[in-house]
Amino acid sequence: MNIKVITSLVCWGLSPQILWAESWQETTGGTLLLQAGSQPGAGCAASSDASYLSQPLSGHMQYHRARYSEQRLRLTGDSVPELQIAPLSVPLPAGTQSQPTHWGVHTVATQGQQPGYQFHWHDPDAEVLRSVQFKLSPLQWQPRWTASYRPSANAWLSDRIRPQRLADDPSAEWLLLPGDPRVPIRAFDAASGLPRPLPLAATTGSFALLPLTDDKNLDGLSERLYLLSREGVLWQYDWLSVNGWHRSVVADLQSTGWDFDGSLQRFNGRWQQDVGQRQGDIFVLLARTATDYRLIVLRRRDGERQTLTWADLASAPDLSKGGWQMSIPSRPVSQAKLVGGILYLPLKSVSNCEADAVYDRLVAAQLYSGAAAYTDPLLPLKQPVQAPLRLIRVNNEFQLWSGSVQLISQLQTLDPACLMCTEVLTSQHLQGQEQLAVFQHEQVY
Amino acid sequence: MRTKGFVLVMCLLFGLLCSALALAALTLTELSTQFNQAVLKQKQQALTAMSHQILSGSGRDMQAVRCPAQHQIWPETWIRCQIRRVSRQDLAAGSYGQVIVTWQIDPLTQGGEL
Repeated sequence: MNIKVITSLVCWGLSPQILWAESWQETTGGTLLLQAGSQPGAGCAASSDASYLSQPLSGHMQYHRARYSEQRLRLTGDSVPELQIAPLSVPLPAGTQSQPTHWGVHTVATQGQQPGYQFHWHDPDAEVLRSVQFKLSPLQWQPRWTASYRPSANAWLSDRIRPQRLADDPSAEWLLLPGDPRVPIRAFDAASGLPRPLPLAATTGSFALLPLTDDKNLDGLSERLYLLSREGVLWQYDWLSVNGWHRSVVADLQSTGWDFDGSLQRFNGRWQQDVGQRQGDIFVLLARTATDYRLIVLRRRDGERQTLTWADLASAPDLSKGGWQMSIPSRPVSQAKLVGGILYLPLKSVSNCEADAVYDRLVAAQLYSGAAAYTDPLLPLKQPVQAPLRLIRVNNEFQLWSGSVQLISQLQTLDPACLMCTEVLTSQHLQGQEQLAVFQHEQVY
Repeated sequence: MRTKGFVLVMCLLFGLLCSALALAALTLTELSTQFNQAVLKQKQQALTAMSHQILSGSGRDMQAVRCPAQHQIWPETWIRCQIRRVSRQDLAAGSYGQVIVTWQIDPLTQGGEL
């Protein structure tokens, strides 16, 4: 017997905890070819443990998480070997790592009991956008389409690609991706991959982040799009049935000189300002400078037309300006997470691997004001962790955990009774109601 | 004789004026009643359609409501909002009823993962 085989068998016997991954390679014909067993975690960031590099996979009994990294789709579960599928791509030179990219796995309705999944991803090395439909147990892989696509810039945080319906063409679902100054938003038909030129005015700058959509009237179609340029201009496009897509500027932060290529999120919120309450959009941006990273929160009241600029941002906790910003010492490993109006942002720990999602600090700030939600807006953790943040209910209160490590023993929430106040988060905060209309006795005069 | 005739004519004119005023008031009242009833019926029909769909669990588009802006913001996948009728009496004229939006947050969605 070959000595290598004997050695590997002995090693396998000595370390039974190592699970060999089931690895498949896509062929040029679009089928899958089983590869020799390989160990999961070949690269430093390729750990099969749950982290912010992966997303939950719903509907399957065995596989619970999906992840696309290092040109492989990786599916992991609790008691099954990691399933790796390597789609066809341009081989990377040895020693180089594939850059973070936008991707998404979605459950689709299929015949039979086994759930089907749709997988969209941008392959920056091959400069394509691809779509595949697949099933697990038994494994089925059906390539659907490949479209040529190259963004003008790349983000350092990957975001989830989601099919969307737009008000200007409700007949299809569209994948929206960042374009270039001539075509700011690229739209691909999610079913066929055919690109559609969205009639948006040309602009300046480069774009790395996925556009956001907003369905204002809840008819299932998005009438508003947001796009953030790498230079810091936040564009808003409103669909008007007569005039098409109308462009306006929400914020212009070009004067900061920062790179806005981290992430863009939007929330609908209500906050107290001076006297009275304000309601509108809250934008959370992640940017970077030459020396650090920046967390920016913009508050924009409904109906407000004025463009927010650097002068509207406060550096200290403040509710009088148009938002706040703070310096963060290391790279966030995910987008901001919100619980009870408190913003949590896990920050990358110093390690040998730049691409993993291990974090050892948390930003914990009040969303509207930036004030510390706990003792300090930057909370050091007892030990580096990589599992996603998770809420645990204990009696009537809540704790924040990562895997088996407790991070915060008593979660706080915003207290609307006073400015920048917090209170302990309890079950009573989890439900509420608001009156929409009252029909009273009709008086006839 | 002429004076009596004048008084009689004046009385007749006054009576006519009063009748005209009364008729106008009655007409306005009737129109107002019909108008109010029409508005009330319209409201009730809309509400009835909505409430039937809410109660029967059909009409997905009608039930899906944008969650109201809140002070305390939650993960999008945790929060569910619904339109509800508080009372069934609101379909009868002359009674009170209200429509409310309720929200329920499930902090254990996907195991509580943020």
